Parts: sequence; structure tokens; C-alpha cells
Amino acid sequence: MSLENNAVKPPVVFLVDDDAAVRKAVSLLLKSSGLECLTFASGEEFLSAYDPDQPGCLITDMRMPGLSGLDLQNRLKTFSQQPPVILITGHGDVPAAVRALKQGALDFIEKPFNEQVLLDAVNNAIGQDRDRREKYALINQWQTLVDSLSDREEAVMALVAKGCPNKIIAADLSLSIKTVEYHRGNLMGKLGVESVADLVRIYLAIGKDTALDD
Amino acid sequence: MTILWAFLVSLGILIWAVALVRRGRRLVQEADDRTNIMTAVVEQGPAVVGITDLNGHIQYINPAFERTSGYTMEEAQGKSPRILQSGVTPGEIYAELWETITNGGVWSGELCNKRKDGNLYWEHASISAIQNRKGETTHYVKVAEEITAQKRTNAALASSEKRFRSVFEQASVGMALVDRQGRWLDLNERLSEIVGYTAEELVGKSFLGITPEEDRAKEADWNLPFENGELTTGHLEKRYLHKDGSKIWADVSTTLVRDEVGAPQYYIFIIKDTTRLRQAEQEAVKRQNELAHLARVHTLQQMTSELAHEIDQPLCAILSASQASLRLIEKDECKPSPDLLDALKMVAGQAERAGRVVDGIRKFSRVHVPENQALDLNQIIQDACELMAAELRSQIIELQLNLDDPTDLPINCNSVQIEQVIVNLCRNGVDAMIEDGSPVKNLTITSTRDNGMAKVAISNTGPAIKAELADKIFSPFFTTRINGLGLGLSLSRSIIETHAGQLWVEPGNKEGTTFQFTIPLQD
Repeated sequence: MSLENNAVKPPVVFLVDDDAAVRKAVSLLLKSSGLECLTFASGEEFLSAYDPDQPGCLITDMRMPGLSGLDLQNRLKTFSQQPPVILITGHGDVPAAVRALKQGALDFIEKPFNEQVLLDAVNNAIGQDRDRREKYALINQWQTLVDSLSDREEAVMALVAKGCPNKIIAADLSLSIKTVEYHRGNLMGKLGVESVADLVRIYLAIGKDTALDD
Repeated sequence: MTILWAFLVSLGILIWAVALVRRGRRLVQEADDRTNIMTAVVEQGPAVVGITDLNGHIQYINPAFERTSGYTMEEAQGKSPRILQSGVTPGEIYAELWETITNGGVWSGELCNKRKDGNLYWEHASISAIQNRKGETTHYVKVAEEITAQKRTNAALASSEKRFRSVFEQASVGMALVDRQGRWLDLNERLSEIVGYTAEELVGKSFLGITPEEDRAKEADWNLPFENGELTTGHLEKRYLHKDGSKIWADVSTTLVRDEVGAPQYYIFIIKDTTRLRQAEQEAVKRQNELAHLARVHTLQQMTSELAHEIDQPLCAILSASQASLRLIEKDECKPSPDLLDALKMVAGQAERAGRVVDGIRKFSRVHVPENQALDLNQIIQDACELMAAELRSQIIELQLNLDDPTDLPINCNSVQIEQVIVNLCRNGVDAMIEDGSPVKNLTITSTRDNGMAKVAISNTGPAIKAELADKIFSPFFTTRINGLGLGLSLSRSIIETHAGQLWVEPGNKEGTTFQFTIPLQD
């Protein structure tokens, strides 16, 4: 299975903090370790500039006037894709940290932090974001391929994925075994898969798995 | 000669006879005089005199008798003295009386008689027999003196004595008579209860004997101001040693009693046991101190937390910037002096160290807060009011409680914290009213049920809070008071919020301010 590697944009670290000195220093640190960094003084500012197609991660302060770090994290859920969120705070507030993690935050670090703690968290987040975006892209690609199948080919694909032998598929669809073999060859060619296992993987990934239970 | 003799004898006889007659006349005259005097004494004197014959029939009563008994001579004559019997004097007395006088003796004693008009009177009587020359008893005579008034005075004295004794004995305060050297002369039952000793154990001993040793020296001269005439009555708060060894507090009023000419006689101590009162006062003071301490701890916590946040921000910038510098130096492959690198590393290291210090302080300041308990909010309100009572009284502030009925408002809370919120809000109102100088100072606390929440409103008649300040007053370090720290309200709000409730102020009324808070009900 091969995947066309589109020109992936380099990841960007978004930094939201109401303290200008913190923004400047942390972005310097990130840039000095070779990362792109964009800073925002508030959650509102970040949201108005956010592009869901931009890979990267979000570092946000917990306590800010206006939107808090937790509020911001919740607002992001309305977007098609969300960056992994790292919350930072100068306030050793364990309950808030627990709440943040429960709401899906990736990490939680306390100010002032050592560069290594921050960079590890950022790299981890960017890695996760990349994996997720790749997976997302792959599924999109597969979806496009599946969409290119004819109705008959899609029906055959569903039965193959369920593990039905050609004989049963032919009986089910009132086709000759030969016709089934023909469609099967065509659709595997269109999807670019060579084994039934790969076909099943695609079938599951694009969310047709519920059909398997029928 | 014979004639002469006869004449002489005759003359002699005549002279003798005349002399005899004269003497006789004189004797008769003298006897008459004496009888007259005796009669006058009986008739006009104050003594009551009555005479009966041997059969006990009244022969004679004098005017004094008539006056005291109300009977005239005519009415009494021939009657028995029993007409005077009142029934108060026991029969044995009469028996004894008759036995004495029939045997020739003199009976004397007090008799209670009945007047003709039915009123009773007392007399002290002496009754005896009268005998003729031959020694035969012919009559009985009673000589008496009315003593009703005297008797009455005595009875009044006795009854007042009895009354005072019963006051003394049954008083709810301890009372004692103490001599001029401080020795107990007499003490009542209540005092015995207070100090644990019986009167017998104390009488004759000094009160210093049941005074704690450490107080004796300063109380040794207790009586000087009285003896010097500086004081007649004095007050003293002192301790006594109870028989069981415990020390008790008493409020002692001391009065020096002087006789008619002003000479000091003895002292009266009135002793009130104030041990419990003092304990209650101390308990209240202790609770107030605890609350104040808790408030300070909370304040400190909040200040620490704010401070930590404020310091953490620049520390974060310092640390990140210095670490960025080190990376940039490395990336640009320039060759700085080792000292510069060391210095930069030191900046980063020290920023990290400061961060750890701040974190340590923050963790240390986070005190253990006791677990919440199921409690009645109305009870907590009442406890808080008790704490405020003295302050409200001294500032002449009227407190009104409108507690929810049914009176039980069950909430799950930390009572000390909620009590503190109530005290804070009340005190805020009190301060506002005092600064405002309002002539009418009313504080009202109302508790109600509202949609599953217990709601408390604390209103004062001080100045209204401006709408634009309604939220600002809850921020830390905001205050309109000269001496305020500006943490009371922010602290109260954070306490209520940790109890899943809300605290706010109702702005906008022409006068008066109402703070309200809610806490979820537990029923």
C-alpha cells in the first residue's frame, strides 16, 4: 500500500498567554530549538486566526482574562480538526489540571518549566498531530477511492470484507461467480490493494464497519 | 384631900381619856388616810386589779381592768373570770394557776384574754390569795399589766427576723456575714453550694483560706478601704478554691455594716458564681480568635496564591529566555567566553530554583481544610449571630432574624467557613453603617428555600453599593475602607463557591445593601 505524500505544511506551535514577556521568551525558546511559533495574547485572538488545516499544537495559559485555557479548549471542539492542547499555569491547581485532562488536554505543565519539559511536550504533541493528520489524510484518500467504485463493486466489497466466499456473494447478489470475480478484480485494482486484509482495513477505516454487523 | 385626890385622879383620867381619844382619832385619821391612798392607787393607777371571792366570783375590778377588758364593774361583778378566757392560753396554765394560788402561792405569767368586743389582749398577771388576820383565805387578787403592744412588737420583730432569715437562706446568690478580719460569721446554703463547704466547716475561718494561694497576698488588705471610711460598698471579681480543688470565679459585693454611732460592725458579702459565665465568655473569645486566625490563614493562602502566580510569570519568562539564549548561541556556532555561558546557565538555574521556592511556599500555605458535614444552615446563622452579639450591642445595631420555617435548612458544609462568611458579611454591613453614621442601624438576616438551594440574605441600612462596583468589590485587595485589606469579600465568595453556591450583592437600592448567597440543600 502506498500513499501519495502531499506537500505537508510544517507544524506551527500556537502560544496563547496574556503575559507579553512570557509569550516572547517562550516563543524565543521554541524558535531556538527550530520550531515555528505564533503567539496570541488571548484565546479570542487565537480562535479568530485558527486554520484547522494547519498542523501543529496549542500551548495555552490556564488563567487569563476573558477565555480561560479550559474555555478555549472547549471552543476548539467546534472545529473539524483540533490541535493537541498543552495547558500551562503558574497556579498549581490540581483539580483544574484533572478537569483539563479529562476534557481531552494532552498535557499539563507548571510554570516556570524547564525547556526540556516543554520541548518534550511540544514534540510529543506535534508527533500526535502529525499521526492524526496522516491518518485523517489517508482515510480521506481511501474514501475518495471507495467513492470511485460503482454500486455493484461497493456491494461486492462489503461482502468480501464480511469474509463471504465468491459463491455466496454470487448467490446473494444474483450474479454468476465469474461476474463476481470480475468485479472483485476491478475494485481491488481501483483501491490499489493486493490482499483481502488491506481491503478490510480500508473498509473499517472509512467507517463502513457497522455494515459488517448486518 | 380625898377630894383633891379624887379630883386629881379624875383629872388624870380625863387627861388620859382625852389623850386616848385624841390618839384614837389620830389613829383613825391615819388609817383613813392610808386607805384613801391605797384606794387611789388601785382606782387611778395603771395596774389592772381584780378581786374574786373564794368561789371565783368577781367581787371587784378596778377602772384599769374595766378599760383593758371592756367590762364594767357592774357587768363583771359576780361573774367568773372565765369570761375573759380566749382559748389561746392552754388549760394547763389555768390548772397550774389555781393550784398555786389555792396553796397560798403567787402565780405569775402571761395570759391571753378576750375583750368584751371579742379582741384578744395580752397581760402579764400576778395572782395570789388574800388572807385575814387569822390566816384564812378570803379572796383572790389579780394584779396585771397589759403587754399586748409589747407582744406585737416582739412578734413583728420575730417575723421580720424570720423573713430575712428565709431571704438569706433561700437567696439564689451566696450571702455571708463576715467579721472585720474576714472570718465567716454566717453563710447561706447557696454559698455552701458555690464553694463546696458547709457553714460549719467555714464559720470562724477567714475567706482567705478558700482563696487560691496566688491571690491571697493581693487580697490580704481587702478591708482597708472600708475601715478607712473610703468605701461602704465595693465590688470585686475574685476566685475561690472549691472544696474539690477547682478554682471558681465569683463576683463579690461587699458592704460594711455600722452601728447607730457609726462604728464598723461586720461585713455582708453577696457572692455570685460567675465561673460558667466566664467560661462562656472565654469560649466565645476563643471561637472569635479561631475565626480571626482562620480568616488570616485564608487571607495568607489567597495572597500566597496570587503572589505565586505573579512571580511565576516573570520567572517563566526569565527561564525560557535564558534557555533560548543558550540554544541560540549554540546554533549560531559563535564562540562566547565560557564566563558568558556560565552566567547564562546560572540565570536559568536560579530562575528554576526560585520557581521551586515559590512552589514550596504555595504547597506549604495550602492548609488542611476539614471535611464537610451535614448541618443546619439556620443553626450556623444563629451561632454566627451569637459571635456578633456583643459587637452589635456595643454599636447599638438592631439585629433581626427571619429564619426559614420549617427551621431546618440542611446543607453539606464546613460550618466554620460558612460561619465566617456570615460574620464577614455582617461585619461589612456594620462597618458600612458606622462609617456612614446612619442614625438607624438595622441588620437583617433572612434565610429561605429557593429552587433546591438554601438562600441567605444579609441586609443593612447603610449606604447602597454602586452598580459599577457590584462585582469589583469581590476582587482581591479591593476595598473602600481605610483599614480594609480587601480580602473579606473575595474570601467569602471563594468559600461559597467551593460549597457549590454563589455569593453576590444586590445593587441599586436607594439605601441599604443586601448580600445574598446560596448553598445547595441536602434534602
